[in-house]
Amino acid sequence: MVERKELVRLTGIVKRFGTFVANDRIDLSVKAGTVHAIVGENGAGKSTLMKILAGEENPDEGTIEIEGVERSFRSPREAQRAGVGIVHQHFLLADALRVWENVVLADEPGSALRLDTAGARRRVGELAAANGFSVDVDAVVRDLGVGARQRVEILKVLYRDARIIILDEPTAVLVPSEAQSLFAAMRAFTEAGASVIFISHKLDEVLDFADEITVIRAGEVVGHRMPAETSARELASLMVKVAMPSVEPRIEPPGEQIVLEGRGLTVGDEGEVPALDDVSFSVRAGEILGVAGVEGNGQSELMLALLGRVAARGTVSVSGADVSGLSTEQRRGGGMAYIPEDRHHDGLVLSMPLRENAALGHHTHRPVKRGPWFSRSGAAAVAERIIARFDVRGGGPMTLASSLSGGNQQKFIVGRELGSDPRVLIAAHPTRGVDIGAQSAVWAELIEARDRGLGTLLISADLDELLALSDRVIVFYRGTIVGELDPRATDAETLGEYMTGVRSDRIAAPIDQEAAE
Amino acid sequence: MIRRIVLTLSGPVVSVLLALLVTTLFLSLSGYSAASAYEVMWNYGIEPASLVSALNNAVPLYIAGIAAAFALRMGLFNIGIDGQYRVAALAGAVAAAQLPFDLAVRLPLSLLVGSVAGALWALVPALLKVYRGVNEVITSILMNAIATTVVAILLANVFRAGGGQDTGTAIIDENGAMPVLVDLGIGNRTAITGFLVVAIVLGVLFYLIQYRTVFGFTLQVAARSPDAAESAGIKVKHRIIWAMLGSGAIAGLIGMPHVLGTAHRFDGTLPIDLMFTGLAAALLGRMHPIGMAFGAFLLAFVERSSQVLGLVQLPTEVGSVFMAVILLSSAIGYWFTEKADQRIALWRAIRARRRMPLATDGAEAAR
Repeated sequence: MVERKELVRLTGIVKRFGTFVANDRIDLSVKAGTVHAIVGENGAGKSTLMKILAGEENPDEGTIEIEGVERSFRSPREAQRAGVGIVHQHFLLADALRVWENVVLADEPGSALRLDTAGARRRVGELAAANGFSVDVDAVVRDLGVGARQRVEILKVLYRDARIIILDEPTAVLVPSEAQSLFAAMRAFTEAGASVIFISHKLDEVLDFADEITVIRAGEVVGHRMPAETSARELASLMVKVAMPSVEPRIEPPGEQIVLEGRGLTVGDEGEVPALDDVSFSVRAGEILGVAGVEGNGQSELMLALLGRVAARGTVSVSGADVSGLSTEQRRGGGMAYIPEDRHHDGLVLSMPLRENAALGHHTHRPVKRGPWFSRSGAAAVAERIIARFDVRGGGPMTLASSLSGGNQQKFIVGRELGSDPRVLIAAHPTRGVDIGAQSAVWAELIEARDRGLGTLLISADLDELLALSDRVIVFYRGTIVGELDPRATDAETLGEYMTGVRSDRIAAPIDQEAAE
Repeated sequence: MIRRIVLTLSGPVVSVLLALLVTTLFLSLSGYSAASAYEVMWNYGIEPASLVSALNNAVPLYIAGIAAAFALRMGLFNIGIDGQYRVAALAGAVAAAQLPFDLAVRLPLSLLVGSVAGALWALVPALLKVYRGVNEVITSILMNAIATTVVAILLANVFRAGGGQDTGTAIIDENGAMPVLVDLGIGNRTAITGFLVVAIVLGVLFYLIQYRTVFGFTLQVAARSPDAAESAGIKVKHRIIWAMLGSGAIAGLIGMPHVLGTAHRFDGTLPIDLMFTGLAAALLGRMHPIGMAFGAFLLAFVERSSQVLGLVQLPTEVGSVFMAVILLSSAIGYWFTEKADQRIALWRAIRARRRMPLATDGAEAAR
C-alpha cells in the first residue's frame, strides 16, 4: 500500500460537559484519499469529536492539525475555510428555501448587493450532476424526503470545497440502493484526494467501505482496525461488549382478532397527487405488520392519518370500532400508542424534565390528572416506573430530557408508550440512531408486547429490523402499497426492488382481475 | 435548590443595579448630585401616603403583568393588552353605572363584563392566528388602533352622560364602585384599594392554572414543542385560543381600579401606559406570580418617588429612565445569571468529581 499523506491529526483531544467527559485524550489520524470510519455507541463521544474537528465545539485540551499545520477553530466558518465540512445526523436546512438557496446560503456568489442567482443555480446544478446526485435544484426543501435532504447537505459541504468531509450517520435514513450511491459518491471524493470521515452504527457497511476503522467507547479510543483484519463481531464487542441483537423465531402464532384497520385511507388536497393514496391494511392482535418504503412515500402521512393529526378520507378502526371521527386524544384514550418518527421533534419536549415527558399522552387520566390538577407526584411515579422497567439510564424524573443520550431517550419513549398497555402501537423507526445495546432492549420490548397481544404497525428504514421483527411486510411506493411480503421468504434486495418501484404487485390487484373477467 | 433561588433572584437585582447605575450617570452627567436626588426620592417614597399610593398603583401593573405572562407562557406575545383593557374599562364602567343591583352583585358582574370584553377583544387575533396564520403581534397592534377609534365613537355617541366639554360615562355611585379595603388613617390619602384583593386572587389563580393544572401543563407543552403536543393529543390551536382568551380576560381588569376606584367613570383620565409598565413588571419578576408582585411594586415606587424631584428642581425624567433601563437590562441580567449558573455548576461538579472515585458508567449516566 502506498504511504499516504496525513490530512488530519487530532492529538489528546479532551472535551468536558460539566462533569461528563465526552472525549478523553482522543488521538486520531486520517490520511488523504481514505474513508475513515468511526464507530461507537450513542453517547460514546463520536459526534462531539466531529463537532470539535468542524469548529462547532472548542476542545478543552489537545490539538488539531490539518495537513501538518496546527489550527484552532473559533467557528465552523474557520473550519470550512480550512477545508473541513460536516453533514449532521439531524439536518440543518431552511425548509422554506429552495435547494440551491440552501446550498449557497452564507456563501452566495455575486457582489454584496446582488445575488448571482443564475450563477448560483448553475453551479449547484453542475455540482449535483458531477456527483451523480439526482436532486432538483429548484425544489423547496420542505417538499423533499430525507434522502434528498441529505444530498442537499452534502452539496453544501462540496460547494465549500471541503477536503475533509465528515458524515454523521449518513446511512441511518437511507435505503440500500441510496446508501450504495452514497458510498459510490464517497469513493469519488476520496479518489479526488479528499478524506471522508464517517460515523456509523452499521458495522457491515463500515467493513465494506471504510479503509480504516477507529472504535470509540465512553469517550476513549478503544481500538484501531483495518477492515481486512477484523469482523463485525469483534467491532461490536469492542464497542459495547454485548452480542448483536438477534430475534428468536416466534412460537405462538398471531391472534385472529383485527385490532387496527385502515380502509381506503387517502391524504392530500383535491386536485393534487395524494401523498397517501387509497391504502387499506389490517393488523391483528399479537402481530407486527412491517411497513417498508423509501422515506417520503406516504408512511408519515399514514401515521398522521392513523393518529388523527391530518385530515384523511377513508376509515380507521381500532378493535372493530370506527375511530375516524375521533380526535388524537380520544384515539390515544382508546388504546392507541405512538412512537414518533423523530424523537426530538415530536416524541419529547427536550426542555422539560422526564416527569413532564412521562405525562405526555397520559395527561388525560389518572395518575397524572387528578380533577383539574396536574399531579406532580403521579407523573413522577410514572416516570420512575418507566425508568426502572425499561432501564433508562442517565437520570431521574427531574432530569431534563435533553440530557439523556439518544438511546436512553428512545427507551424512555418506548417505555412511555408501552407502559399504558395499549392495544395498538404505531412505531416509526424505533431504533433509529441508537446503539446496539438500546436496540436490543427496544426489540425485546416490542416482542414481549407482541406476545402479550399488542398489534404493532412498524415503520422502519432499517430493513434488517423490518425483516427480523415483522410477521408480514407491506411496501409503500408513491403513496400506495405495492406489495405484501413474507419476511421469512424474502431478503433486503427484493424489498429494495419494491421500495424503488422496480417491482410491483399492484397491477395484479383484485379489481383489475375482476374487470378482465 | 438554594443556588437556584439565589440565581433567580440575582437576575432582577442585577437589573435594578444596572438601572441605578445608568440613572446615576444620567444625573451626574447632567450636573446634578445623584446622591441628594436619591435621598430626596427615598425620603418622599417612604412616607406613608407615598407607600400606599405606590401599592395602589402597583395593582393595575401587577394585573397587566399577569395578563402578559399568561400569554407568554404559551409563547404568545399579547401586545393587544393595551386595547383590551381600554375596551374592557369602558364596558365595565357602563355596567357598573347601569346595572340595577346591589354592590355585592353589581361589582362582580361589572368585573365579569370587563373580563368578557377583554377576552372577546383578544379572541380576534387568536382566531386570525389559528385559522389564517397571521402573527398575533401584528393583529393585536391593529386591534389596539381599532380599540382607540371604537372607544372614542362609543364614548361620544352612545355612552356619553354629560354635555359640552364633559366626555365621560355616567358616574358610578357607591353601589357600583370598588370599596376601600382599609384606610390606614395615617395622614392624607392612605386608603388601600379593594382591588388589592382582586390582584392577589388573580396571582393565586395564575399560579394554580399555569403551574398546577393539566391545562397549564398542556399550554407549556404546546408552547415548547407543538409537534410533541399534537402527538400526545393536545390540540395546539385550542391552546392558542384559550391562552389568548385568558390573557384578554385578565387584561380586561387592568383599567378597573382606575374606573371603579379613582375616576368613578370612564373618561379621558384612564392611564394609557399600563401595558408597557406592566410588561416591565412581568420581565423583572421573571413572570413568576410573586416576582411580578415585587416588580410591580418597585416600578410603582420609583414612579411615585420620582414625582418629588420636580419640587427640588431635578429632572422628573429620572423615573422614566430608570424604567427604561429596567426593561432593557432584564434581558441582560437573565443572560448574565444563566452564565454564572453554568460556571458555578461546572466548578462544583469538578470539585465533587475530584473527591469521588471515577465511576465506570458515569460517562453514560451524565450524557
